[in-house]
Amino acid sequence: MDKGSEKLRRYLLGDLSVEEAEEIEQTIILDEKFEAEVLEAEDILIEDHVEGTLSADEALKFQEGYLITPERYQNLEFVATLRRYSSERAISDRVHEAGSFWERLRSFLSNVPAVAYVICLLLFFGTVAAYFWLGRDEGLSKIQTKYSALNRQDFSDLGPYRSISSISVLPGSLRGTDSTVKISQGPSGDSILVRLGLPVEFTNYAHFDVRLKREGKKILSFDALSAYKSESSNELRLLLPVAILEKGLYQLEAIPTDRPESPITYAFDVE
Amino acid sequence: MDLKKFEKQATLCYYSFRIQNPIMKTTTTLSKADLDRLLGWLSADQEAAGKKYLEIREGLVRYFRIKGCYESQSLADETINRVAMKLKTFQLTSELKPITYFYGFAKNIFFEYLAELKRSPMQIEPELAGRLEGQTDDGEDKETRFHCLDDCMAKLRTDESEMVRAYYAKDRSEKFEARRRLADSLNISIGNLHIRVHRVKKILRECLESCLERI
Repeated sequence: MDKGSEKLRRYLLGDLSVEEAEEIEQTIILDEKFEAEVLEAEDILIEDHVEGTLSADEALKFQEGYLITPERYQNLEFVATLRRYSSERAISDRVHEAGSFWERLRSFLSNVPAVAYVICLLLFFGTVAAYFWLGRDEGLSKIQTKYSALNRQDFSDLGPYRSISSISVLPGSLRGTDSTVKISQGPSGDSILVRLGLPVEFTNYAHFDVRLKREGKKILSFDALSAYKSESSNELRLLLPVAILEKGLYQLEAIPTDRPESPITYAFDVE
Repeated sequence: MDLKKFEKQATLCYYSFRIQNPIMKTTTTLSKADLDRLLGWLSADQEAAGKKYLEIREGLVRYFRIKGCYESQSLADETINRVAMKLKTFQLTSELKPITYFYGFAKNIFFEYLAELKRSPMQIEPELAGRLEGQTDDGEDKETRFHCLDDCMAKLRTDESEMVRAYYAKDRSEKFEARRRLADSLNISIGNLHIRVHRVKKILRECLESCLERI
């Protein structure tokens, strides 16, 4: 509290000298803006009284020096009432708002029980599905990161990969034809080496983006894989994780980075 | 009659009595000669004198209002009348400004007001006042007042009623932060918020008293 407010507080409590009080009262008469300051000090004083935060000395002066007219007493009582009213109405408003929401929901559900059951079931299965779907996506994300790194390594020497399963796939392999490469589900090891033969007309392209798809949906993708020379023609070499290869038809799409409009499609079947 | 019923009746009776029977009778009337003398004293220029007269009257109304006098207007008029009537007996000096005379008379009138108050049958004794203060907890009386306040709030503009309710919704240490946030939300200073609340509070109080009289 600043000195001015403190002095006004003391004035209202009748705690100033006659000269000091007269100075304040003449200012009240002469300066209309000063009244706001006095009223503010008065309101703070009244609130302090209502809240019981006045010192013993102030409380005594409040009774004997301030509450000297019925008007002041009525003002005190009005402020106390208004504070109580505002506080209680604020609480009841919050209770009413909270109650009205749940009451509306309960009323709606009680009128349409079938809807309530369906909503509950959908919420339950939705939650379960989301849990597994998000978990699966998270697993795929980790696999993607891991195999992106693996497939950036140099595959020109295949010596270190002789111990793992491998398949060679030519473009245009279709399910149901003899040319479709078939692999058994759950080959040994964590990875399978896939060698994609490149058509002659793609011999001059050095890098390809490769997409692994199942039933048209992309599962993994690897960018800018290098083409390697083999005995007959060039080929792409990459590792795929065995864990994601479930039974079904898979497609691999190789897109020359310099010729994206001409993707080369491969297929293999997991049995 | 039990004590609470008596207290309630006393309070309601006070509201009614106060309006119909001012505590201090102000019977003086101002003659044209006295008024002209007063205006001439305030200023040689008639228009300036009239303006000065109104300013002094407003100042006196403020004085009596802050002193806690319900009849602040009539007490201000009584002060001016007495000064005007005594003016011819003054030995006016240029050292003393008119405000000094008006203030001196106003102080005396305030003391008379307090003396009348003590003689008034409706004077609320401090002991009774202390008990009445606790009356806000009384169920029936509280409900009556709250019901009236509901009606009075409904007569205000929504922003005004929300402002007052938000202003008084918190107490003790919480109120300072709540009021600062309220002032921020209204894009005004705390001082201006206080003035706005005070204005609305005045309207509400008059409305509440009027409502309690009707019940």
